[in-house]
Amino acid sequence: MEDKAKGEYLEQIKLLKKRIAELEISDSERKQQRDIRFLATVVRDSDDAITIQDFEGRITAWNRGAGQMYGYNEKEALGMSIEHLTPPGNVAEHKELTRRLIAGEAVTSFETRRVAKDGRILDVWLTVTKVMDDTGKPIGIASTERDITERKKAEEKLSQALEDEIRSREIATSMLEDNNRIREELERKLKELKQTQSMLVQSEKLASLGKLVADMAHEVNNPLMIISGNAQLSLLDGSLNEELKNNLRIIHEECNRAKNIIQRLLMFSRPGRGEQKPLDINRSIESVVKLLEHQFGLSNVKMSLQFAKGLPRVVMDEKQFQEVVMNLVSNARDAMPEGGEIAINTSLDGAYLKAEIKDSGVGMDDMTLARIFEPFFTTKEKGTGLGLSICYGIIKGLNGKIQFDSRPQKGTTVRIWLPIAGEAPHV
Amino acid sequence: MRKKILIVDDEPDFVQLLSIRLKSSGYDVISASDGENGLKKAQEEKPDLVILDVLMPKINGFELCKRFKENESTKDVPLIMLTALAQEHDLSKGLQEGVDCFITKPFNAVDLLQEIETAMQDKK
Repeated sequence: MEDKAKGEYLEQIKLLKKRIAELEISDSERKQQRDIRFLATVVRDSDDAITIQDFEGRITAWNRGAGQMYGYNEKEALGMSIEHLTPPGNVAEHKELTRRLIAGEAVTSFETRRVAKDGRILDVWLTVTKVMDDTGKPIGIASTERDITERKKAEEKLSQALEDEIRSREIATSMLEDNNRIREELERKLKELKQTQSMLVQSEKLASLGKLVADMAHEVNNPLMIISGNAQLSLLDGSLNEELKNNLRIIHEECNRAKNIIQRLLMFSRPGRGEQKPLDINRSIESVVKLLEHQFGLSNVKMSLQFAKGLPRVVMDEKQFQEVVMNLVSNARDAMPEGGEIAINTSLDGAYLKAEIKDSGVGMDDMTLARIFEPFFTTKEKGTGLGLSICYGIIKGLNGKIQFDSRPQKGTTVRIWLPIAGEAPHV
Repeated sequence: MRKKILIVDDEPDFVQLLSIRLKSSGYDVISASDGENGLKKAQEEKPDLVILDVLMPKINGFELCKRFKENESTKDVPLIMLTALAQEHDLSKGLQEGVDCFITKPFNAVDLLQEIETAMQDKK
């Protein structure tokens, strides 16, 4: 009996447990069904288009959002081929998507395009997932599609605006660079033009001065002749006392001095060609330097020479060339009252021989530079103002060129070009 | 017999000065103030030497030299050219035209007298 009672009791417990389990299942199902209802509400009311299609591409579920987005009502949509929503350019993409889902590959969200009932092309953000039946067998594809057309347009506008901005900036930068380049080029051209103009003005001025000097030589030499001749004639008078004779001699000597000045002036306006013969300018410079070396050394001025080897000869009068070198190095010495160094170098510059004489002296300002070749222009207390005029005349007479670079307190560099073939250098 | 020198120059002061100096040195002096007259006087007076200037009215010194050399009666007369021009190309042009000597003003009278002597000697 006891055993029977015990058995019944256990049976009761078993039934109770089963009932409890059934109740729990029921509760879980209810909860699940409630969740499904909630989800169904969410799906139904969502603004996103949520659809289900089978693997043949027929639409089997269609929410309100899909209706709003694509313009088909549920009745029209159900059973409709998904290809109605797929633009021609995206059909292949859709087929590939289906293939991958059936094959069990993971497919993430991506951007694609759909076509609405009225033909509008929509940009959508598509999230897809495989739908399975109660047995776990795949039966279709659920997709959520969010219309991003407006956002895309906005993004494109923003992107376009950014691109335009970048392009504008690039154009502005390029224009700025172009402007800077053009400005630099213009400034360079302007500087060259000013230099050329200045050289032209100087050259014209010197040419008219040359003519003036030649005319003056004739006009002054005649009266000088009369003065000098009369002084000489008077000196023949034996009755004159020594003092008067001395005065007449002074008149005669001063006339000769004036004549020499005129001769030197004529060297500026139209120097003769002198004794033309092939000249080794290195050797000629060296002989001038040797002559002056000791005297310059007393003023603490050293001379350094750097000669190019194997230079061709220049056909010219050596005395004239040495007069040029003598004048230029003497000026360099005078520009360095505290002493310093004069660097002389020679080189071949195209069809010209170039000699450069550089000092570290007091230099010259632009006003002085503009007048250095004018006869009688001098900055020295005891200068005649003829040295550089003569240099100019000699170099010009050879179709050569002489050029000064100088700045106050920065020294002076003189360059002379002597044509090997007789053409003026383009500098 | 005293030698005769013709001076052709348009500067009367200079002509006077040079005349005094030459006369004091034993020469007879005649003068002309331009090239045309100079040529005429040379043909008439047959000077032993001509001193001439370059820049003169009517005929300049170079042209005058040329005409002296072209004329039979004057072609052998020594010519000394005195000029204030003093430039190398003038010198070569003068020598080209047959000038015997070229002297630049102002000059030393002693040098001129020396040149006159030499030129006359050479023509003997």
